[in-house]
Amino acid sequence: MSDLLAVGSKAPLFTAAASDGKTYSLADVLKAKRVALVFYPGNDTPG
Amino acid sequence: MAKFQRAGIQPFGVNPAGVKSHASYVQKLHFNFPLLSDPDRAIARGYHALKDDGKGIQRSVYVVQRDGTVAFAQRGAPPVEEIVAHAS
Repeated sequence: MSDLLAVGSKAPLFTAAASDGKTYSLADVLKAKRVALVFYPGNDTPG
Repeated sequence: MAKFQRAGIQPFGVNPAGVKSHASYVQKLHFNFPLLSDPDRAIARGYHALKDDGKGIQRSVYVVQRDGTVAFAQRGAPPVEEIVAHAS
């Protein structure tokens, strides 16, 4: 497994559909706020 | 998750499941932040959150500063307080 991205490095930009029916672009959200990204396994797995 | 918002941080969950699956999950757990759908795992790959098999997701948390740089990165599911403290 590779290491996490280093603090201070450039975060990869993306655009993705979300559960609230909207599509979010990281660059757009960052214009207003900092962003936390929480990566987690399948919706019903404890992993 | 209000703690995130108070700290001026917009939280997102990220998972390969489809948007429909996400919506029911959000309802079930009463999440009040959006879950992003990452069906091709491109976001997870970009953020090094994929397991060695290239499929499984490694629990990981990031905070991204408004200038687009990484402010906080940790494996697992650290408490919100810790994330906010490190990202401030």
